[in-house]
Amino acid sequence: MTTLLFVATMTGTAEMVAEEIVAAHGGRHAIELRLFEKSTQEMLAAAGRILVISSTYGEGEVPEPAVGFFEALKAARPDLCHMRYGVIALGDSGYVDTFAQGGRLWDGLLAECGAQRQDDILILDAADGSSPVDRAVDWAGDWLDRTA
Amino acid sequence: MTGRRIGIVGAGPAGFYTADMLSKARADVAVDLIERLPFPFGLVRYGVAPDHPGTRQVSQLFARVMRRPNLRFFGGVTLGEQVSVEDLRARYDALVIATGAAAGRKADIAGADLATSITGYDLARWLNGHPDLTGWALPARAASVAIIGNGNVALDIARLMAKGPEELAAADAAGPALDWLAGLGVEEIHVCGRRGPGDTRFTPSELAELDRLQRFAPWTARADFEATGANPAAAAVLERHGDADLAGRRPIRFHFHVSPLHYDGTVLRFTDLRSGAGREVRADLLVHAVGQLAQPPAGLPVDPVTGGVANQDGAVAGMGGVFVLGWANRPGDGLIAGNRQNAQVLADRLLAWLDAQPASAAGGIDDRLERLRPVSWDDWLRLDGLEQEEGRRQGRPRARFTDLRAVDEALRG
Repeated sequence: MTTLLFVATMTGTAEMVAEEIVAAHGGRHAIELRLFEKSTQEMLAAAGRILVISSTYGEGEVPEPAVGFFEALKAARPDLCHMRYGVIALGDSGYVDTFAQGGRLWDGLLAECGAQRQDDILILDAADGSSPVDRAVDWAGDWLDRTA
Repeated sequence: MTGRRIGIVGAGPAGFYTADMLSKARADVAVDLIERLPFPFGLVRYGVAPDHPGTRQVSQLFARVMRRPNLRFFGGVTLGEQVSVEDLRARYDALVIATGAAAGRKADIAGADLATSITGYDLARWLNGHPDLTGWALPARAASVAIIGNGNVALDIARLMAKGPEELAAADAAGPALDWLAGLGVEEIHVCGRRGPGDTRFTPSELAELDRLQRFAPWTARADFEATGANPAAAAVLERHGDADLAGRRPIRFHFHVSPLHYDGTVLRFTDLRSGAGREVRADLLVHAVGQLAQPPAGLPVDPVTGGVANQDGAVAGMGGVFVLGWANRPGDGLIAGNRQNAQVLADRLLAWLDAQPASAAGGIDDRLERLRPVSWDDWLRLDGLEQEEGRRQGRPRARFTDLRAVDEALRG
C-alpha cells in the first residue's frame, strides 16, 4: 500500500522535511508526496495510510495554503475509518500558547472522521536549533517500518 | 532551454525563494546569487529579533537550495558599486533584483534626525551585528525609551528593551549590542501610535510574550478602549492590561490615538487625535518602527509612490529581462513566507519570458571574479562554522562577525 505524505507548509520547511523522507525511505517503502493545496478530498479519502506533515501559522492555525482543504474536510466530515495516519507537527516553542498546533488540528480532524492514528505525534521545535530533517527522517523510517 | 544563466541580486528570503523555484523548475538553468555582504540570508540573519530563534530556521531550507549543482553564491559583490546593472544584464540571460530595503522609515517630525532618534530597522540590524552598524555611537544610558509604531516590530523592540541580560543570555545576538542593552538602564518604555487598540497590527501571540517578562509588564489606559476595530483579538489582549497593577514591575505603556509632533532629544511630544490635547513622554531614546525604505541600487528606475523599483507585475519598467521581487518592490510588505508564493509566480513569468528569447552564451560575472574576489558558498560555510565555534565558547548559538576585515582575515588565514 502506498503511504501518502500530505504536506501543509508556509515557509517550505514542512515540504523539505517530506522530500527528505521520500529521498531516505522511498527505496524501501512506497511513499508519495502530496501538497494539501494541490490535492482534493477524494485523494485523501481514498488513501489507506497517510503521514501528515504540517507546520503552524499565525495564531496556531494550519498553514494558509492548506486552509481551504482543512475547512472543506471539516465541513464534509467523510468516513475515514479505513485510514491509518501519523502526524509530524512543526512549530516554534516561542509561541507558547499555540506551539505545534497546526499538526494537532489535523490530528483532531482526522480522528473525528474515524481515522486511526499510529504512534504519538512527532513534534519538531524550530527554536531548539536542531535540524528538523534529521529527526523527521529517523522517526519516519521507524514509523513506516512499524506500521507497515 | 540549455545554457541559460540567471542572476539574482540579493541573497535574502526573496532571492533564495526565487533561486529555489527557478532551479526546481529547470534543471538546466544556472542561477547565481549575488550578495553585497559576505553572508547570505538577509533579514533572516539581520532583521529577526535575537530572541526569536525559531524564525531563523528557514535558513536551513535556503542552505539546502545551494546544494543543487547549478547554484552559485557570490558574496561581497555590491550592485551599484563593483558591478552595475548594465554589467549584469550583459552577463545574464535574466536578472532578478531582490535587494530588499536599505533603511527604516522615520516619522516626519522635528528632531527625527537627532542622534537618539533611530529606526527599529537599524536597531534590529545592530542587535544582530550588521557590519554597516559596527561602531554605532548610541547613547550609553537611556532610562526612557519611546517607540513609534503599531505593529509587531514595535513590540519586538519593546520586548528586547525590556529584557535583562539574564533573559537574553542565550540569544543569537552580537556581543557589543548585548553589552549595550545590559548597560542602558531602561526604566520606562512607551509604545505610541495613531491607531486605536482594535486597529493596531499587533498579533495576540506577540502581545502574549510581553506577559512573560521578568522586569516589565504591559500597561494600557482603560479610557482608550471604545469601539472595536479590525483587530479585536489584539484589542482583547491589550484591554486585559487596562489600568493594571504592575506589581512592582516597570511599565511598557501603550499610548493609542496619538500622533507624534516633536522630539528634542529627551522628550517626545504628541497630539491626542481624539481630544486635540498635547501630551508628552520622556524619551532618552526614540525608536521609529513605522516601515522601511527600499532605496534601490543605482541604475534602476524608482517608483515615486512606493520608493521601490518601478515595475509592472515584477518586470522592471523599461528593462527587458530584469525583474524585481520582495521589499525592493514593496518595502515592508509581507513576512518571510510570503516570498515563497511570490517567487513561484515570478519564476513562472521569468521562465515564460526567457523561453521566448533567442539563445545566448551568458557567462555570468565569471570574467570579473579575479577582480571581485567574491565570497563563495564554501567560504560562507567556513565563516558559519567559525561563528558557531566562537559562539559555543561564549555560550550562545553563534558569535557573529561584525567587521568585514575580520572576515577577510578569516578567509585568507
